[in-house]
Amino acid sequence: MRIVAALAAAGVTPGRVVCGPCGSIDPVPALGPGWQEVSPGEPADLAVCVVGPRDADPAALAAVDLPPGQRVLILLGWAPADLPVAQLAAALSGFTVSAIQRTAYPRLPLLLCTAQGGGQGGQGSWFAALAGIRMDAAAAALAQASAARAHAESQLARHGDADTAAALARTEAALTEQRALTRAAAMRVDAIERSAAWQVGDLLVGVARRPRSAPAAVSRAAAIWRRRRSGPAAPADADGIDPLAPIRAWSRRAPAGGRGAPRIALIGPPRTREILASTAEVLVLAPHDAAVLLAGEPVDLLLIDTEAGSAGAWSGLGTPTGLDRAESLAAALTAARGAGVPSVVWRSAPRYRTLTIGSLLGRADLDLSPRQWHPGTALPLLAPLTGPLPPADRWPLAQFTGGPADGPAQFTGGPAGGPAQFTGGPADGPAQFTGGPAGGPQTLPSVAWGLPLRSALRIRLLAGDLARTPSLLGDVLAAGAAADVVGGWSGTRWADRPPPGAREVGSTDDGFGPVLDDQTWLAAVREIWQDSSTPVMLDDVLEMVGADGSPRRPARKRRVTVILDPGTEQAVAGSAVTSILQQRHRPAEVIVIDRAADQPAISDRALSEISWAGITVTRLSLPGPDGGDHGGAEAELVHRVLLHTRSHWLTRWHSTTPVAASVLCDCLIAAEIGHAELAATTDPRTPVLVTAGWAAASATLPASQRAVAGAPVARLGRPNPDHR
Amino acid sequence: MTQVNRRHRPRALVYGDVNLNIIDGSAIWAVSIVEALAGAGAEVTFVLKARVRTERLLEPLRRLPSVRIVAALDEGLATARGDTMSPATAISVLRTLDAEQRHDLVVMRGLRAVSAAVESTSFNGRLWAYLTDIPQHPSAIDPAMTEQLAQIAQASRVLLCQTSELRSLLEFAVPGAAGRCLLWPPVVPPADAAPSAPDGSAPVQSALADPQPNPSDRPLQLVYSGKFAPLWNTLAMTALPGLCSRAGINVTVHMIGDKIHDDPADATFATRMRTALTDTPGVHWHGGLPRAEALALMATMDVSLSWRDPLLDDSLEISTKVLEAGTLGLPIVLNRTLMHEDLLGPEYPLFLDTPGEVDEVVACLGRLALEPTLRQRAGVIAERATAEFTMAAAVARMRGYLALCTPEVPQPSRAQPLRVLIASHDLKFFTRALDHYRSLPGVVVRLDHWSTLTRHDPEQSRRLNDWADVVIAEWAGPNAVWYSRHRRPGQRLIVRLHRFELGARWLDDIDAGAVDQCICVNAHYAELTAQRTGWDRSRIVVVPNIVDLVQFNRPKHAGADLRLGLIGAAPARKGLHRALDVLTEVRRIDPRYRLLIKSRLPWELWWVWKRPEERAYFEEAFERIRQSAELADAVTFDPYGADVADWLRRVGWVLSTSDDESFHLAPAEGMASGALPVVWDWPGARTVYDDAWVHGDVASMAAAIAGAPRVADDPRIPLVRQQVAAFDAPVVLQSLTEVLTENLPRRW
Repeated sequence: MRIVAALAAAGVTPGRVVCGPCGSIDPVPALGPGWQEVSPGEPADLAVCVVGPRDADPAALAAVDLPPGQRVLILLGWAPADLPVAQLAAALSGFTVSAIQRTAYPRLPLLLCTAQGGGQGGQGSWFAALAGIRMDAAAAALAQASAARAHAESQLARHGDADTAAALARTEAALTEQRALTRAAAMRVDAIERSAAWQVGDLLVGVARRPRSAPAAVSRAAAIWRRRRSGPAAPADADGIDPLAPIRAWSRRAPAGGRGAPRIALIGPPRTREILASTAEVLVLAPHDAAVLLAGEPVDLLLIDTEAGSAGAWSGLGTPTGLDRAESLAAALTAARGAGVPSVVWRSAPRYRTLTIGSLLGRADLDLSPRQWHPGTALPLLAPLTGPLPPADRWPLAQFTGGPADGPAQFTGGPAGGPAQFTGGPADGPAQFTGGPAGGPQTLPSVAWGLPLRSALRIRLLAGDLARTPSLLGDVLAAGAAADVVGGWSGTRWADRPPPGAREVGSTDDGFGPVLDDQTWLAAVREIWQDSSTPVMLDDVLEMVGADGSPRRPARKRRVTVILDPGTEQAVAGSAVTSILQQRHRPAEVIVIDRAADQPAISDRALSEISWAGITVTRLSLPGPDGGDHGGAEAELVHRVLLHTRSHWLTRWHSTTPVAASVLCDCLIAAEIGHAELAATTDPRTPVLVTAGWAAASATLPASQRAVAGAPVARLGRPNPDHR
Repeated sequence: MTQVNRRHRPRALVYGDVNLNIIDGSAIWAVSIVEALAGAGAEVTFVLKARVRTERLLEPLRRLPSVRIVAALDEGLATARGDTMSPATAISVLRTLDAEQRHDLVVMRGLRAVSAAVESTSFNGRLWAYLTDIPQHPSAIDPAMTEQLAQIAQASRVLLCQTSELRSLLEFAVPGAAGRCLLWPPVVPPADAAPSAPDGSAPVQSALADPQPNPSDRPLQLVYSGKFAPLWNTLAMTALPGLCSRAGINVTVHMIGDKIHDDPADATFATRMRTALTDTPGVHWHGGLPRAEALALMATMDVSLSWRDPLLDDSLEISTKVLEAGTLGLPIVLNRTLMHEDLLGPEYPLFLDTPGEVDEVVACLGRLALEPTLRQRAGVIAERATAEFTMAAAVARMRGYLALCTPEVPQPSRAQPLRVLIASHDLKFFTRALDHYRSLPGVVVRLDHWSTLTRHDPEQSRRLNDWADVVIAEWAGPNAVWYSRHRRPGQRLIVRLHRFELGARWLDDIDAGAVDQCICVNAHYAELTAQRTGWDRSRIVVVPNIVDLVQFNRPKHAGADLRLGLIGAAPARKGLHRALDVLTEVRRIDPRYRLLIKSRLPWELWWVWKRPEERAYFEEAFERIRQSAELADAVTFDPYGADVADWLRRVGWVLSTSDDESFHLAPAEGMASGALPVVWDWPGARTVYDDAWVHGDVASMAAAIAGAPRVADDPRIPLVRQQVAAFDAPVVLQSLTEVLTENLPRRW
């Protein structure tokens, strides 16, 4: 609303105007025609003031000498969200507010008020009005940021590519910041209202109005001021407190771009973070910042691993001497609830170590025992083991012999190229396994022993001084690996029984057990990938807390679209359909490219079998490749496919050669382990999988591995030199 | 030279809100603490709550010459409707006895009685409160209870805590409790007290004296002693003979006790329990027995059962039944809890990991039946673990507490008590000394509390000055100026200077001739004071700050070796950036190290946050923590609080990284806790701490940490303990006591 209109709406008609403090601005022309400027002291219909960071100081308003009843137009030079509420309210206490209107100038709120003179207006009424403007502006900005994020989210759900993921991340960062600003504005307003300076100031204004109240007011003011200095419980002081400070100190930057992975706030030990980090963006919370971060950072889930009390920042949580940690946990749960972040407890620690937080854990939205859930096997951590196993006679099972009480435990053996060193540490440290193929030592975190790798690996425990090994082996066993424990417990504290998870198999003279062949090992890995890998487990828990629609669910990362592009040949539909239906990991979608409009290469009947299996089928009609413009046709193909698909992975089956049932599964495993954008099997005849983002960037959908010669391709079955 | 008085025997007044006609844990507590006090050299007046109906528990006390038992109701000192006194009546009796002869300490058990004592204010500063009837979880302590406990803490000299877990709760949840809590574990009779066999024949040896494998026809004998209640699994215990029989294990269960509880949730429990006790094959119910007989019977058994419902696992109290079985060398089957792990060790073989499942109990008993060496091993562990719960240990502990709280000091031969006035605006570094002065016999203490550094009530100060024989100005501020100018003839004036006063103008306004002694906390500041003021050096003495070794001597938590600690990170001169540098270096060697910072955050200190250079410093530090790979997720900020002793259990290395300090208590407190100090070479650091701990650069500090063995095994720990002894409360308080009446020699 322009100033002219605002004045008209307030019933102010052009007349005589006097200028008060205006800084360097001449406001009279903005009032519109008909106004006549007069000198101070002369009678006027309107006084005009302009205050702001580049204009007159608000304090100057207090010095303005106006007759009682004088109408005053005050223009404010701050953005509504930045109004210095306390300062202005104090400055305007000599005026009575009669109207507050916004102007068409987005950075200039307009105030129309009546001067009362003698400081009888009171800060309170101004405070409410100004605070309202500020909060309204903050709320509007927050709504705008939320809308932007929602739009970006929908775009990501539709396209699922890197650009939209980056856009979403940017809007999330903006939303985080706006939430923080809004929260800070509210806190600031609240702090001012409760501040000693404000209360005392208000009292003094009241004294000016009612001089007889002076003695009581002075006494009250003194009491307020004393309380201000009396320690941590003192109310917020408008001079000192900075509500933004903890937010600034603890906030993390939102990931740039990102892979569209779920964002999980974690209260847990380092081990759990390591597992989850292979699949999710993990925001590790500390006791001092958990509540602040949960209130402001965009996360999909708060995961509380009760083993947090065993190591790391939350060490002691759950014990009688970790009551401060419990208090931080309580604050985190409250903040999560307030921010609408679902909270999940994973009770991985034995109950007796979490007794002091039992009731707290009950406040979570989901409470899971180890039998019900675990974070899964982090296959990327198995990268060093994705190579083929050596022949049996050169691959002794890893021996684990205990060491002296204070020294490292020796772990000899391992994949070809050993010896491998397994150095242990105190109970709260990771056990490191170094050594491996001839290419040099590799570090394999203990968690990579793999959660339920089941019989894929065995650890033979030989007799010896096991003074330190309980914690070391416990570290491994706690990760879920199976251990065959060979007897000979003399001199150990485990003379009575092996530790939980260990199975005693015989004497030390047994030698080594059978070595797994490639196929058995691969079968175990496939089973893990499908049933208990980290993405699957995270997907499960996100579904359990109702985050079904999140575009960042890991399951989306395994969506595959098979593009059947048989060219102009009459395809043998059966083998294509059979290949698809036999896939261990079924594609989510099949797109059939029809190049001959009158005679589709694959019949509807054939495709209907695929539909009945729950796979989405789409036909795309495209012209056949034009004489010379293969590139153009290919780009058109890619463009059309990307318009239709919602999958993360694409594979083009050009040939009608049957595709092995494990191809999709093996390719995705390789890609997941190697964090790759292209994946294939070791058989060069089988198709290659590419991500939608890769296809968009390269404008091609390779039909075979030969087409991507030179590009880094993840393969299951031999080490990928290009994985990270 | 002052004349030294005869050695003073502390006088203790003891009252427990317990009925000694009923033999339960609280009654045994009362008797044992009286016995311990007497054994430690105190004269004890023990007031009974109830009329005496049985002498069972009193008889041993009557044989102690230093114990006077007052049966107030029987002796007509009080009246009551029934057989027991109300708390108010009890307090009245105690006040009467105290008026006859003042007691140095008043030991009291029971929240109601203690609250009544606090309300009466008669025993403030002398109260030793023992509370177990309080909520045992912070969430259960509501604001009203917090207020009540805070008042009790404020009024008490000591809060006696049965376990360290209970102490942790009080120190965390109750304002004012930190620094006042002392451990008072249960007392059980030693095994070599040789209880007689139940038939009165020769003393029974420990069951482990000659462990024999159970022949197949001899059942494994289990024993339970205590109350019969649902959560104590006593009904389930009676089912064990049958369940074990099905598993091929021959066991009998012996039950001792006569208290069958009524369960409000199960009206049939009492009947079923009684039936199970009397009618179950394999179960032998011995009823209630005198304590000695019960122990004698237990000693003839194979295994003690302390299997409980998991709902009891979060108790902060330790079972005296477990301790009694342990002192007999009996293997004990019990729930695995942190408290039991602390007591018996995590590898103790008879823990029940899933106590809710009886199958595990049966399996455990099966192993015990088949493996006598297992029984022997478990019994040895239990016996060793309970060695500190004997009366001899209790007497030694009480002796130490009495020396701490009721010091024996040489006193001038005065007709009247010495009148000591403490004048200050801030007593946070003086509370321990204040408590000590208040506990000194022949000393009366008053406070002239200045509302700010510069503001006081002159009229009040004048009145107090007229009264005082000795004036201590804590902080060499305007308080010292005023009192130096108003010093009366014959009066002593002592000024305690810390650090910031040296930069203040008012220092020149102190009438140096009126100051008998100026106390500085280290030699460096003594020298600075002498240079700054020109005062007579012989009047400037060094008395270090106090570190209460008793409070800080607590076992370290697992992982403490890998934790650095910093107490106080604001303002900027505390050197947070330096601590981060050290952490960065250390983590390059071993990424498991972490930094714990116990401090107010800079924005919580208005006088820090309003200064732009301070804000910039801290914003940069926090940004660095966020951005650095070495620091992100490796730094934890813990809230400021008085629970420093418990916090230091997490820390193996205490840093002092300040630009300058006068004393810096933190490394000394760390040393007292068994941590190693790592001190930046701030001016004067070497006059406070040994050169071995002081470093001139970050690399040296980091090397001292990362290259060291585990802290507990570090060969320098004995040196640490030896050096920190110089700061121990009794040593420093001795000096602070002497200075009341005579000038200390200059030793810097």
